[in-house]
Amino acid sequence: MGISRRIFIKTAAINSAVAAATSLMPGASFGAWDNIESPSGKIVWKKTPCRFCGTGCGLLVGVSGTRAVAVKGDPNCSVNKGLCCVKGYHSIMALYGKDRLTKAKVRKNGQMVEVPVSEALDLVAEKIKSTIDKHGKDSVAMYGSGQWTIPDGYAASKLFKGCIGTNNVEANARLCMASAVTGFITTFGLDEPMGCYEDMDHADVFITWGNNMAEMHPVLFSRMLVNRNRRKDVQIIDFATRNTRASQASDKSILFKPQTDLAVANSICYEIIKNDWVNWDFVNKNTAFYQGKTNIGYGTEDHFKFKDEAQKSSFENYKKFLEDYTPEKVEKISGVPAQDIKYLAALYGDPTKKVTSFWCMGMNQHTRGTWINNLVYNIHLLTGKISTPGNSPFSLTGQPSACGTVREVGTLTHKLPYGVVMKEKARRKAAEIWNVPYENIDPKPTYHTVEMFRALDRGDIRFMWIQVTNPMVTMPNLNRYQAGAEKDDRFIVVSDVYPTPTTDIADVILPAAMWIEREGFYGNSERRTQHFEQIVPATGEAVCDTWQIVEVAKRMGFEKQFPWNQENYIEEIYNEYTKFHDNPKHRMAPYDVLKKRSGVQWPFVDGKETKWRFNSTYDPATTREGIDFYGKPEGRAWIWQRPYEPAAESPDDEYPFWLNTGRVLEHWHTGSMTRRVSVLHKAVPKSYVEVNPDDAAALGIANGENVKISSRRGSMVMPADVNGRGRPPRGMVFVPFFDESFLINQVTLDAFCPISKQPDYKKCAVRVEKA
Amino acid sequence: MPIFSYLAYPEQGAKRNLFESLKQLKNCQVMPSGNEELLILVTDTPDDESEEELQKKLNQINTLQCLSMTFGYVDEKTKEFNKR
Amino acid sequence: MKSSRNKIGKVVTSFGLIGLILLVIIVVNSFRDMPQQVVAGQVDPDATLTPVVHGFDENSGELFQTYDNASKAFMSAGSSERTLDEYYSRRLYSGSPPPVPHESPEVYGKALDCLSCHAKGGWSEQFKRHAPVTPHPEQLSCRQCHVRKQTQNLFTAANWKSLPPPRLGGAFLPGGPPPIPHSLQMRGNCFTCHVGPGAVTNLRVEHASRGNCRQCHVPLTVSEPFARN
Repeated sequence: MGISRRIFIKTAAINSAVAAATSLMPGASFGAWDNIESPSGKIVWKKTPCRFCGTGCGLLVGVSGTRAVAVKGDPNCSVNKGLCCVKGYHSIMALYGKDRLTKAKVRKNGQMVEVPVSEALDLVAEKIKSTIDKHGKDSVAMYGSGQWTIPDGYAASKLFKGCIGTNNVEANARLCMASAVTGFITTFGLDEPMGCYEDMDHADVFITWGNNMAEMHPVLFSRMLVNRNRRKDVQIIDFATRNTRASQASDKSILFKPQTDLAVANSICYEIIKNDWVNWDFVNKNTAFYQGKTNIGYGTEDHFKFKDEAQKSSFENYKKFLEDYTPEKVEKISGVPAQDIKYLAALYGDPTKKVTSFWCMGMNQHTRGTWINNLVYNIHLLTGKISTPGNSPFSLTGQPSACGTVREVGTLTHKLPYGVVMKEKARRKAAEIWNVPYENIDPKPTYHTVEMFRALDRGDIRFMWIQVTNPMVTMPNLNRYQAGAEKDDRFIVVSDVYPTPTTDIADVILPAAMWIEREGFYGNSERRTQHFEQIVPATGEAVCDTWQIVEVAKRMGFEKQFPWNQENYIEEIYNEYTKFHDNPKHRMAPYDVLKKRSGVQWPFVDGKETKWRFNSTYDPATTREGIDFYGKPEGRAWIWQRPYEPAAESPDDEYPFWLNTGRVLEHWHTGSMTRRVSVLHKAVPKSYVEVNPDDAAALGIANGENVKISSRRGSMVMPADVNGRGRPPRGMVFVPFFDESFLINQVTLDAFCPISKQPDYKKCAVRVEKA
Repeated sequence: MPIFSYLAYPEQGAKRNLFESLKQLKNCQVMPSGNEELLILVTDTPDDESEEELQKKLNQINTLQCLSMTFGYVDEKTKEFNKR
Repeated sequence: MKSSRNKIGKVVTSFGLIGLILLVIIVVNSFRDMPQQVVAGQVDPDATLTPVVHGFDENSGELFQTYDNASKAFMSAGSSERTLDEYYSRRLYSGSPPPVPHESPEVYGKALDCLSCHAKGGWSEQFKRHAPVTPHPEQLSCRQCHVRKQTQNLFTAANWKSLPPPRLGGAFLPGGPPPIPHSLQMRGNCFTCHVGPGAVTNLRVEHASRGNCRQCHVPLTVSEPFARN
């Protein structure tokens, strides 16, 4: 009897039994999931921000006994008002993969051997000390994440910058948010958006810049759609390099050639000035004109250095500069029809329309990321459409605490929790709060992320501790950094929740308590600080990332700086940290308030959140009526002259295609969590390369057939996706990076924005052929 | 090579227990109802000796209150075997 | 004690092998009480619903509007196509968003219009069954939560468990109205899931024409009895 026939009979047997059961007991169900027998059968709902993206949705996690069993959106959270996306609804399933790391492991004679966590921590502390003794303090490094909670990042910064005295602290947010930060700092002098998600309920026009919100920030996208549906006169314009789900849902989709957003943004400003749509009252009172260096390079070589110099300019200069960017000229560079540029300018310029711009990785992962951020602010500044409800240039963040931990705590080489290491005042303040000698804090920044991994390859760094991130999938030009990390005499410690390509190269693996298995805080895109308590017990011997750092610090002799105990260290650390921000520009809500509410926006002054910064109606830190950009002298934001410059590597005869990389809705970053969630893995089981149907036809590639993508750095063979959920234009291919079996970053280029040092994952030249 | 399916009723409150016991038997597939005190048991044995063996084991489970057959399939070889 | 219990089952089992030598197939299906069948070809095109956008629990006014708008054909249509088992087999816990169980191709150049079938329900010629009606038609980005399965395999084994789905019924008194066992968040419009030909058979109510559901059926929000502090 054939197998299939047997299966058929068995299925019939099951069906008869189910039918018999339901006829006897109507409603009996034999559900697909394995049920727990709970003594009470009762669910207790606990609030937490979602584990995944930077939107910061409030979730209610249903707990029965010691297990998380269900999720619903938190209706009390103003971010998502009770709605989640498919990742959020199934987020808790990521706690329960069978291969969770539950024990510490240490490499002994080339083999990873399970050891007690305390023994692994001893080894980590000992190795940091011996490496410093042998190679100096700048040979040890910490590489963290925008998925670090606030206390994780704070403890790391205090240990490395304050106690050890090295500025070798970086986070993967360098790969995702650095250009947004430098964009904010250069234009406004202060980081993070002025507006908030409520802008969506006021705006008449939404313009998304290189931003597939339908998949990357789905909850915000559906809020936009609901607004369009309810208010009827709302428009969504998608301005992008590739046709996506967001393009398909928009009222108008405008495609531009990669990198030419710089030219189009300038052209929009040209049109605004030409048609006198400038809001002169606003510009005269609230802005100043500046220019910086040009031809600034791409950072592909080791030890690359760049420092911008701001030069005062004027409106007249600026106007003259824009003459190179008439819509007709820019049409030739960008492929965007002049009339579409004029249309965009007319939307921004129309004084009766409130306009919100959204962007995320398209503008940030850009070799001129700082510039394009500046240029979009220019548009909003010229028209005065900023810092008021519905008028918002809104830089979305990718990770749940890229803002909260990396940008606010300052886990970047040049940053301190308040200010930068180069400033004496900032160092003195940090030394005082941290209780370390002032001289401990090094005034010189060391390595940004790409350079840090180059230093690891060169041997300038010998020890690296990686927490909550997976650089052996995410670094661009990955082949080099994989080889570097695997060299002898490099010691890599990895704290994570699942085995990944990064734990594969580790000498010590520390099992980490994940998300709601410990207490913590995130900070989302709209300056909202969100607390979550420990909701379920940690898996196995897993230890909270913060506590791992505290334990190592104690072992290194820094008990005085790390005096906390396991009962309330998260609260104590938060209270110490918020001393850095105790001013009306950045005061954060107290611990007790955060515990009760579903997130609170800073500045939190006199018991009130600030929804719109720099606007005297809402922001207590302003010192004059109306708008006050108090981060810059005279309260004036800077309008920058930034030209169009080409990408670091553009297609040529040998490598005729653009390679664009990114995410998909179902997977979070490298998929180390979401691939362990059955529904998400079943929806997108493996990566693929999106090819334009005409290119596919020309190359003789059918949907699903293998394609070889090669660049000057590496190559990858993967199945083609033709007419899938996204469609690149002719001459471009797109690859999602979540799949460790297809390490597309072995193909990408490690060129970065010279100002922000953020790499460009969206543009390099490749050859595409049938495999 | 017979295939049978049954509704298995546990003794009061012993559903989990019964589920665990049935799961350990060879050639058995068990599906507990999510919301009722009831399980589905599907047996698929390679030959008649193992079927008899299984029946003996089922009889020994004391958390099993009642087993009622809902489906049965016996192929030619088995029929011949049983005629003897 | 043990001997007093029902042992008939075990007796049946003991005799099962010897007694059932001949091929036995008990066709249980024929014993099922089949609700009113809806046959293709006789489909009433008016058996659709126009749900009014419904928010949370408090918007009960919209429930009445949906009731007023519901066609007679929809209110009285029987359902027989969907079982509770099918319903729960698509969910990973009670209340999780089910994946899309049918083909839903990406259509280049235009948004996929799930709501053309799932807003009002009605007969689908393509699937030969009635489309279930979404309880939250105000949400327009469907695939944000409802994804399409491409494989049945897993990346790594999982250790997922949740609470059993609620039992049906559960009235506090014999013959009493059962309470609402699920959260009303995004599922507050009773008519979409409990009425009409696309409803899960066991969940369909026979007395939809009474309209004011919440007069008798109340949500269960706490499980402890009242106690004075």
